[in-house]
Amino acid sequence: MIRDLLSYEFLRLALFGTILVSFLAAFVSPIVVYRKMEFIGDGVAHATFAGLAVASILSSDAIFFGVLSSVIFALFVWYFSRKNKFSESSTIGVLLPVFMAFGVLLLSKSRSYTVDLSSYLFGNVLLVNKSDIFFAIGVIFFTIIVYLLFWRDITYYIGDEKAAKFYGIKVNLISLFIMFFVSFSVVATVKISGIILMGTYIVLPGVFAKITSKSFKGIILKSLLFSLVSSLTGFTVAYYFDLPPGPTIALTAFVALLITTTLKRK
Amino acid sequence: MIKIRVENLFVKFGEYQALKGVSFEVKAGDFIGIIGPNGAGKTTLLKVIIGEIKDYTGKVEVYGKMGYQPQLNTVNREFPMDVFTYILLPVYVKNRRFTRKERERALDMLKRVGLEDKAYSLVGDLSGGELQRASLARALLSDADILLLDEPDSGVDEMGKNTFYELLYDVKKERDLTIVMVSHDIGLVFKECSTIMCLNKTLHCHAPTEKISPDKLKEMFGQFDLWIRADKHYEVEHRERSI
Repeated sequence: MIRDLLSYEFLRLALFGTILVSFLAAFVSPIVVYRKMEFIGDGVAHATFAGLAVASILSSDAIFFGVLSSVIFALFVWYFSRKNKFSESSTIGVLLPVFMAFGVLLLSKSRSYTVDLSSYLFGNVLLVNKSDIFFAIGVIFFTIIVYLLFWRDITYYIGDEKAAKFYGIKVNLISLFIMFFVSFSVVATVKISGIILMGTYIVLPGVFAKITSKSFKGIILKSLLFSLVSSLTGFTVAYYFDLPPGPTIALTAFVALLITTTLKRK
Repeated sequence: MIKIRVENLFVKFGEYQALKGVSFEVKAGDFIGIIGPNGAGKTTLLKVIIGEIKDYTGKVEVYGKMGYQPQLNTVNREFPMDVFTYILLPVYVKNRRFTRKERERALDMLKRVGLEDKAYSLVGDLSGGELQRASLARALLSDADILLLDEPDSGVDEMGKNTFYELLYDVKKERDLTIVMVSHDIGLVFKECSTIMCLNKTLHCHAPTEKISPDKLKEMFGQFDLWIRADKHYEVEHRERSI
């Protein structure tokens, strides 16, 4: 594997991309899990599909259109739930099929319909290119800056939003940052995990950290450990057994979580 | 001295009229209990006072610094936040960091509410009564002179309630606090508060506790289960007091 990594750039990019996405997952997943936003992560992932389809039709930049559609989706959800127009889950439930249907309709007119659909739905780590790597690095920087500046604000937002709002934490701003944060992370992750398997990165590390940690810092570290170990193990297994990496990483992460849960109970 | 003044307050959510023409004043040192059945607008009134609801007509004026204790079920008990961090929220908002002096003050405050040994426990590991006292410590750390308590007793056992109200009385005296408390528990309000406000969308009464009786409340509100239950509670308490 090491010889191949040295010889083939696409393999190096795939591995590097997987590591970067694991870092992103470590930051985003705990917030998603503790704020019970799992459905939003799923919704944003599906919304990305519409942007990717537009990019495919126009033969244009997938990241730009992916970000655009996921941010539009996230803003809709944020606006309607914050303004108490509809519940968060109802808004997601209504918009998710709309974005997905839009994407499928567009892609059905594309010549590479079957190939693209499969790659987007289940991921294709070998399609990771340099732009994806730069984008993921950019999102990680953005995320780290937000965490450094608003670490305690995020703590209070997750721990007791109502009191946080009363005492002056800008909870609307924090929740907007988090929406952007989830959207960017989903776009950065979509080539590796695919839309359907997005939970591997958006939910599982957070669940693992929740079971095993007793502090917010511990949660981030455990989440990072989990996503890195399961991604790299899945990646290696996929390489040696010639399996698709996305689903292999997803199953590896699930097995790791299952083992942890079982050991924890004992 | 007036601490809160509400004049002709109307709140509407769509077609639903939550509050109709509510007017009252709260004076310094008052301990007001706001009671009323479900959907009476108690929490809505509190939300208007703290500024969470801005879409209303009428006038609301607050003279002083408010401390707020939301219902305990709003705390995310699954999230691992220690009690020390939890109570330092108002300090963080003010300074964006915790100085050594502020930390010492927070520890003193935890001592004051009897939670000094719980400073580094997780909020999720506290009992309902302990969490109630931690919330009070947080409100006091904000240097508030007006405390707004939204059903502080939900999920707290009798012993926890007694400890809490003893503490509340003491800090009220020490700091000359004005307290406005929303509660379902009519017996408790009769026992603890100096003034009672009966709310059911509009204000039905606003009088010192000794000038109002549960029977009068029943006349005003009808035979709600809530009132009957609470009335029994009151009778028990009343008998105990007479003895």
